[in-house]
Amino acid sequence: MKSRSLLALFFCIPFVTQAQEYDLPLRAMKDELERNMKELVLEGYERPFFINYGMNDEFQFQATASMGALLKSNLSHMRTKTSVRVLVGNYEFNDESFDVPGALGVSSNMELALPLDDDYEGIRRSFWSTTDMVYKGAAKKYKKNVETLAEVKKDLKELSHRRFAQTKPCTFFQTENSVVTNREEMENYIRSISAVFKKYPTIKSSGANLYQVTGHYYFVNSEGSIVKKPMSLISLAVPIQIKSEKGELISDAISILAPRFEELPTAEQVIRQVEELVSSLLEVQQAPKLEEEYSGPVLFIGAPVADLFEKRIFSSEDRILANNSIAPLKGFQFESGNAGNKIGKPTFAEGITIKVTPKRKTFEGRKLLGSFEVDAEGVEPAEETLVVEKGILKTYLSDRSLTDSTQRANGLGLQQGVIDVSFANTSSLPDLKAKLIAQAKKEGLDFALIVSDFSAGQGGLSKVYRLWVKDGREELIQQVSIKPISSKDFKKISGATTQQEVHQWRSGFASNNTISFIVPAAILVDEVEADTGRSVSLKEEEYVTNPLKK
Amino acid sequence: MYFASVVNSLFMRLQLPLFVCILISTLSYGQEKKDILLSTLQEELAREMTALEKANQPPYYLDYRVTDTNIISIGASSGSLVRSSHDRNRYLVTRIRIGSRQFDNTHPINGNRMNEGWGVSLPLDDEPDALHYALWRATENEYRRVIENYKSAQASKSEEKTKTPEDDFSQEQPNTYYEEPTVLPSVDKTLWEKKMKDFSSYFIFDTDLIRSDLSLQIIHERKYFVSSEGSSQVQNSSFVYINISSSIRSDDGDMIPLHRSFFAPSLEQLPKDEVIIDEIKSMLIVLKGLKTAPLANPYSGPAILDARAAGVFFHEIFGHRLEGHRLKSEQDGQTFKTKVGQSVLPSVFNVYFDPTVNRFENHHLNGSYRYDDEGVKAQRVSVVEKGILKTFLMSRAPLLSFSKSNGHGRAAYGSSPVSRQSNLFVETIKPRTSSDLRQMLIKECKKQGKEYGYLFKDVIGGFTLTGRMIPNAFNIFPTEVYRVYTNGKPDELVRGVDLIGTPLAMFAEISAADNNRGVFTGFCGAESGFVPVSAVAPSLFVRRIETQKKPKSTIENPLLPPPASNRNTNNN
Repeated sequence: MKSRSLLALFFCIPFVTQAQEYDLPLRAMKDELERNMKELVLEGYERPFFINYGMNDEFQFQATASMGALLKSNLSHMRTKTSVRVLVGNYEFNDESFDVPGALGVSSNMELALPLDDDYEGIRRSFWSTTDMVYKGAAKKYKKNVETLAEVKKDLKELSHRRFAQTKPCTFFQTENSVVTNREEMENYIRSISAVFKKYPTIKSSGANLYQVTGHYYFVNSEGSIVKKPMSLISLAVPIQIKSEKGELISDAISILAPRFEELPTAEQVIRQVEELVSSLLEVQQAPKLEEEYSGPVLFIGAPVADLFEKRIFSSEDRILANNSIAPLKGFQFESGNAGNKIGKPTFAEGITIKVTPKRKTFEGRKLLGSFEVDAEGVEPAEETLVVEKGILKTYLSDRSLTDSTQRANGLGLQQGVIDVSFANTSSLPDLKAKLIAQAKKEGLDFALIVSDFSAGQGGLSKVYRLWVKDGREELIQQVSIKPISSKDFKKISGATTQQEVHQWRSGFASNNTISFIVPAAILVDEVEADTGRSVSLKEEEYVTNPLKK
Repeated sequence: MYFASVVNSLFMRLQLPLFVCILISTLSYGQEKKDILLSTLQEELAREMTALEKANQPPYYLDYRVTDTNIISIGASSGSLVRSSHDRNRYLVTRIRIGSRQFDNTHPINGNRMNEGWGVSLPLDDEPDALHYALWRATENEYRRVIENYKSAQASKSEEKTKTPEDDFSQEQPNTYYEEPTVLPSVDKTLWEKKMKDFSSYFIFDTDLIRSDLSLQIIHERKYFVSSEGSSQVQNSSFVYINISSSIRSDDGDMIPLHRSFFAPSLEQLPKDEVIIDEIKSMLIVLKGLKTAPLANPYSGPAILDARAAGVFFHEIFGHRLEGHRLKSEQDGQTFKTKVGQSVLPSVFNVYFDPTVNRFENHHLNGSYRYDDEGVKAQRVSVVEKGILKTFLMSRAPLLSFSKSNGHGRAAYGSSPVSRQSNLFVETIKPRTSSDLRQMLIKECKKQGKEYGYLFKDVIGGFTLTGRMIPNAFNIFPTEVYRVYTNGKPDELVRGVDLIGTPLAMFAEISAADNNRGVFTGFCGAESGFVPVSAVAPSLFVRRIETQKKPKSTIENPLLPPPASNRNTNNN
């Protein structure tokens, strides 16, 4: 077992500290940052007003097994600079404020890699080399921005531009043991899970993948923020693909996240899940097809509910993750991603409330893996941020780079952690099914669809049912393709269960970022389109018998 | 084609010394049965061939080549440890031939040879079920692919057979060979991490140095080859490689690189630390000289290529044009295709390739092996005798006049073999002294009215283009070049020079060689990936070479000194 937190300090108030109190990487980062803030200047250009350094120190373990044998097993220790940000100008107008075309000819030849060990001078050298390069670019860019602003002859307030939010300095210091000591145990675990596929020689692709990241994120900035926070996440993925006799592929996956290896289900438990999923897929393979496109109400149950909200919040045309793009000053006017400022306007179905509660650790006894105390920019989010209240948008999720006067840096732009979606009027699942039948009947449909057990990120819908209007019978059918639900249709959610569930998965670019959704166990969407689309592949002749078909 | 001493670690490997292989092979009789991977390869190959005999297009040939590698890699940069890893991989390449040796699925279409198999990962564990399953999947996929290739080739058979009348696959004797698995020597990683950091730290005290990278790679490789012809070979190899590279900024912002490398079959056989440190110190002296060295202008005139530079020169402009498979391609320049029996070099030169030797004087050679990657026994191949071209480097892709392989079918793991170079040897039967070459250079400079000639002391590598659509040219990348003045002025280090030219014009200008052969050890990248090679050559006097300016990589001075120079900071 890994040792738990050894030390945790947390103050997000103005705080003066001595670098010596922290461990060596933080001291090195802080000392080099201070030297650069004090001394860095390019003749004829302005000095930086802000610098931050971010670093990931992580151990990544990846293992893949097939048919009971390891295909790959790699353990690597990496230190990477996640951010070297040098801003020239001021909070309101700086080098990042405009997107102006044209290269500034900054060479990256000086870039020095970070040392793997606690080499004080090596860490400083690495940040020194990158800071030099980034500052030269920023100083030139700021000068160009100033000239552009003068050329435009408009007040800055009238122009779409980025400003850099002022936030309180934050000190957060937490350490965990991150050395991987159980590699062999993890290899055996993945071997034994993959061995289950020997029983299923007809399965087209099978195997098991384990990915673990442990380590720490380090962050310092010139405003006084100092952060060291642990990262620990393990993910198990067991993709399964079955091909029917007609050559049609059907796929799904077991996908499990846990904070550490010891908290994953046992190999025996996973094997049972695999066996259940395989029989479920075989059942789906034999099920009737949806003969024609469907348009009507759909009851989503389980993970598909969280998936719908994720798409609506992060990817839709009027998403509530703040858009960082600004309109260009000259030339062709590109459409920006944010369809105008919608704060104070109804953007969701009436009755929907969305809160972001990033510090929440558990839900009904289950660990919330997305939980975090401070974001990658050293900003401490509030315990609870009300984003949507009864369908009305209250705020955007923003980092420190703001493009609109209504945006506030709330520490939720880079990671959100825990998103809680609730409804004002809720009912039981049987009541929702009854409502689904009534809705279908009203629209003159013979049946409605129920979509459940979607494996997020794997692109498959393993269980779709036809709910017949005439007798309320639920009939399993083959996979269908659900068309994206527009923001407009998203307002037509007419019901949700009282019971809430947690669904969580990896999110974003950082290796350990996870998002946890607390959503109703089921929701009823009035207008959804689905088609029969499934991946079709030509039937392949098996020239030689599979050696496992003994 | 690319020949370089700096390459991706995945492509580095070398045979164990010959005597070790012999010793092990004599002791290993009877152990072979315990090699689960070998027995599984043989069983699955036999099962596949038997089953595929009933297919509409039964294969006439099938082979499995597995490369099992253990790689320890340690990297240091400017005094810091930046990489330390230990990886193991097993790659399988499956080759299937349909049709006949005269015309099969690899037959060129429009002058381009059809691709053969690519690598897939194989289980690392000796677990027969998993191995059988992976081999079966790979064979099924490859068989599906080659059937399509064969259909394409057949569709235009009459036309293509006229264009490329040579057979597609040579008939060879099957070989069996087995080496016992070696116990991997334990490596004190902590010690070597410290050593690499210490070596690297010599570079941090000069603020003009831009960056300096050192890498250590320790590679153990076990290669399996089984074929439907009855070949079965298992051979071990290992090597250790240290590469050092550093760059300095000249006063005009030019970034000037310099490289050194060490190669040995084992850690114990690497030079002592003091030797490596001395080499680093000598690099620092040269780098300091390069910082203030004048930038050379394009030049055409006499030059001496020092032994290592001459080795790369021969590898690029000569060796690649002797690789047999190129001469089957209508897209290739085929410089020497019709020159067998004719003079291609001055009559005092012999050139041969010999993968069966692993040392030259006190140097370890990198291009040694017992069997090539098509299971053919390695052979010494004398390509030029007294200036007359005798033969080519052959894989199992025959030419009309050379129907057999001479053990030069090579590939990196994951690629299919083509004819490649091994250990290149250039020798002269009329050696001159180094001082003779210098005098010849000065005399020729005066004759051509030149104030100075060039001495190419060291190179990092080079490349050559052998196709017809682009100039059939070469480019060698020198790192240490001196002007040799005719008036007795001391030699002058210069920077920014690349050695360029076209092959036939250049061969005609080689006038003499000395009696001091040097070794360039590196890796050559071409169609079948990076393979280890060496080049042993004497220094050459060439009446006329041509240079061009190197591409310039400019870099600004950092605004602040590096933090290492602030030793009074609180580093506890």
